[in-house]
Amino acid sequence: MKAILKKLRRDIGKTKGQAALSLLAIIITVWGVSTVYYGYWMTERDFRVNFDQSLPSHMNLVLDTSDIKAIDALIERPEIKAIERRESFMARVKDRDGDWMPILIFAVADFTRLQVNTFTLERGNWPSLGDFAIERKSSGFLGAGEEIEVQLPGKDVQRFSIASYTHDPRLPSARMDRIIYGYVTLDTYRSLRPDRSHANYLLRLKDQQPSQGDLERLAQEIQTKGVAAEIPPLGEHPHQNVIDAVSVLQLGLGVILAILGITLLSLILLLWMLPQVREVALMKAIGASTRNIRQAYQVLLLLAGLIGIVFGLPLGYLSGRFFSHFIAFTQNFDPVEGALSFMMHLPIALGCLSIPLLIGWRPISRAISTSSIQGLRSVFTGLPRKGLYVLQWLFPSVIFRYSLNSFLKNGARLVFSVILLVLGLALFFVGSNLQYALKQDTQQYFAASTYHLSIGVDYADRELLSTVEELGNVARVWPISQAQLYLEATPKIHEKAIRLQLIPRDHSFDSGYWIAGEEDRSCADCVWINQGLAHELGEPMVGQILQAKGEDGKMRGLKLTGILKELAVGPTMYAYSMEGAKPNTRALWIQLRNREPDAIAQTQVAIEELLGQGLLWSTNGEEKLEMLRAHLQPTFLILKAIGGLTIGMGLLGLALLININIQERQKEIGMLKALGTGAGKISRLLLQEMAILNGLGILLAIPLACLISVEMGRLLGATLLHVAIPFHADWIRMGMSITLLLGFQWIVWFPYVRNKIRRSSIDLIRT
Amino acid sequence: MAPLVHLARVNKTYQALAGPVPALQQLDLSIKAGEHVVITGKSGSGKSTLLNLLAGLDQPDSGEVNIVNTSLPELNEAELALWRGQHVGIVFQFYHLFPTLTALDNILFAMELVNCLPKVEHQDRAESLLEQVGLAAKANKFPNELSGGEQQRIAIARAMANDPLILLADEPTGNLDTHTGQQIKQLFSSFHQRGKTLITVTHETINASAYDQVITLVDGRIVSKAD
Repeated sequence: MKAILKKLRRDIGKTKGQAALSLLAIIITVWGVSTVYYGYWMTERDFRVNFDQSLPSHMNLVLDTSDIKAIDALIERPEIKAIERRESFMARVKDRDGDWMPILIFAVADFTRLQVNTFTLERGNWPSLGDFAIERKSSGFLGAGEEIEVQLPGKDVQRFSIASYTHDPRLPSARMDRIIYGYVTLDTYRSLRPDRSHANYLLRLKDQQPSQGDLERLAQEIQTKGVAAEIPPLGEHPHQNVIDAVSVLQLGLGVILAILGITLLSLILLLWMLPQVREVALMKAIGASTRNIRQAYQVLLLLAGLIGIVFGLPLGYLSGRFFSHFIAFTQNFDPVEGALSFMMHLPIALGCLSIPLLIGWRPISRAISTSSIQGLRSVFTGLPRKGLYVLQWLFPSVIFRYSLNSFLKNGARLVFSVILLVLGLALFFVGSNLQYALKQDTQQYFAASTYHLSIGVDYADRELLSTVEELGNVARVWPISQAQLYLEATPKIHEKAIRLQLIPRDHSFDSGYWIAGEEDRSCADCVWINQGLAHELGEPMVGQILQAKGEDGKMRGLKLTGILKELAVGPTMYAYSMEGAKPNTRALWIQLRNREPDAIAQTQVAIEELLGQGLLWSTNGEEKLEMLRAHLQPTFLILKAIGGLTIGMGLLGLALLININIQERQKEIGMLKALGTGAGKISRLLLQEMAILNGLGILLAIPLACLISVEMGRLLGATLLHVAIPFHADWIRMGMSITLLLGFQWIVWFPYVRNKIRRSSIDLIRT
Repeated sequence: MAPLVHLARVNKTYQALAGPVPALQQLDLSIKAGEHVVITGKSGSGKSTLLNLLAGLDQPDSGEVNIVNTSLPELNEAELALWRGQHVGIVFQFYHLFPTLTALDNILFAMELVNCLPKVEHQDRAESLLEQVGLAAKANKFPNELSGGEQQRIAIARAMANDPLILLADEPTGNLDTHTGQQIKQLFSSFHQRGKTLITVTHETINASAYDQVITLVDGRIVSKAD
């Protein structure tokens, strides 16, 4: 075997360029697959560690401030680890540029003894009375040490100073949600909201991972004591959908990348083994045993796999780490710095090592099992398939038949090349399509919206509404009231607090907004919900009766009449009326005449000034769109990165195929010249073959990309937005990608081919 | 009448690792139209180099190579290819048929590449050539479905595809058994009888009386010429 290995080593030495290209392909494949693998596990670890370290609450309690003793009784229970008061309320704050921004303020009982939904002090000191701490991701808008103006609904503007930054991994980036997160002491909270009659508590059990059943039993028991108890989705991070989307995408693309890598490797090994058939036959002819030959090739493959691991795996680890750091940055996690355990490296290392062995097995076996005579004869002869006979009658030009047959002669190589090209192109197209589809969908969605500004108000009377209506650009104003409802627990959901939006009867949503059913004006207590709430309620059917308790404490059956598609809006329920609910305008939906971005912004400012103290928040379609885009940014980054990597692998495969094809056909090219064919004509003949390969690749890639785009749009949409992203093909970008691909090949291929063809005919025939 | 092939003071040297190896030295040669010439010599004597020069596949280092009133050293690679396609047909020892084309397509392909005959005649001429080499029944077979002798006959038909004045053959029977070799020789003779100039390279022992010229090469020089 030593002699065979020595010979193989010399063979590789003779074809250094091809060997280097093959090793590069193995390294890139290992790098690509391991990037996804490490990226996935590191992101999962960062997410899990950050989330678990925040000691998420198992139950949220609401009770009358006059009945605090109920909490004392609960604390005594042995299964409860901690109960901590945590209030949250909305206000607005002026950012550095002087623009009002919404701020969600958390009031904390004792910053030094955080036990549930914990966060850490990043910089400065915990706030004292009259101070604020802000979440670190809000630092783009406000900074520690700065004076801020905060205004609560219906109250005067108050000035505070920012004492510190916190890090709260449960909260997304302020820039992403366009909302600032702040923290105050309970004393500051009481000074701000002395009129509050309810207190909110967070509860955590000693059992780190309690069952849903245990929690529900405890919640029922607590509710019998007059305390409202809500169980947050168990083990779910507040922005779990983004994490899920990233994971789904990573896993999906990881599988595609693995297929692509394996295809590339198969292609390389097939190409490498082709000239080796004759060599194997010669070795057998002079007495080498099949076993020795097989072992020698296996050692070679193992070495190739080892080189792939040595170079590709550390690269994959580093890029996976970079990727997980990026996700951690976008999701406001602190990356976990510890190394992955050995057991995490083992599967990927073994996988990468076995890939070349498994893939190389077939071509090697075939080469070895070919008899000496067959192997020696297989020089300069092709093995056209029987199906080729049919094709001879279909194409009248013998020159085209030559190109077509030469192309089809490639057999398994051709199949792998086409798979590689098709997958690479398709994945790249999917990235473009999804981004374009989302852009189209959101633009169409906001274009069809009945209102273009939504304004949160503390209170609005008829007079105020008339003043807003009189503004030049305002076409219509709908006052929206709110009522609190508690949905009864069912086998699919636990008890859930819902803020019902009561909208005027003269408002109706665009028909394109309805996923199922529609609003129903005819019945009292008829409700419709958006897809976000439908997801949380376990996808109820239209016509289903939802049992809910109102603010008056009375149970009532609410008939679900429709499910609405709403983007950049949280889970919401709507109705025209609700028995017992009083009109209390909390929001204004405003339809504008001029919907140009500048006109919308000007009107928004005018309304904000008009409402003054009564303004809670205001937002327009463009801001919502921006928020949505910020949420989707990590997803698209993954798509782009993997798409780019895929195209790179595809191009590498093509370059390899072109290289081998030309090398292998030097005699043929020499013969063409001997027959009197000029270099230009030969170039055109070979170009024709490349055109067939590219044409076939593009023809297959486009429908495949469309199919994957539909499926990914459904999957990604369901995970991120809880509604499928409708399919839109980005023909312009697809066309540009195809042009770039062809252009790249032309640049790489043409000089190479021209150089080969320039050699004299006899030189080529003697090769 | 001016000779069809005229070579004067032709030198050709190859650069090998051990140093320059002269392949042809001060070679003079003249062949008239319609002659059947055989070039013989031992391995390494320069026969194939001479044939490559005659075919315009290679260029001399010095000297004149004038064939069909054309000075080949003055032509560039593209002009040589065109000249070759129109005036010369070449048959190799190992046939070198295009493996992805059928027998008929191999002949048609040569015609379409050079395109010096009217297109409407291509099909009929290709079929007629196949008939002349006795393989009309195997027109649609691919090379790997044909025997060595059959492949060589197709290679001859392909060499005749563009009706060249000169047919060059490099050891055309070297890879065939005696009986098949004899058949190939007869085929060449039939084309010669129809007025083609035939130049064959061989290292076999030959019957000098059957040829117009027998040129024997030793170390790149003509040592004997028999007319």
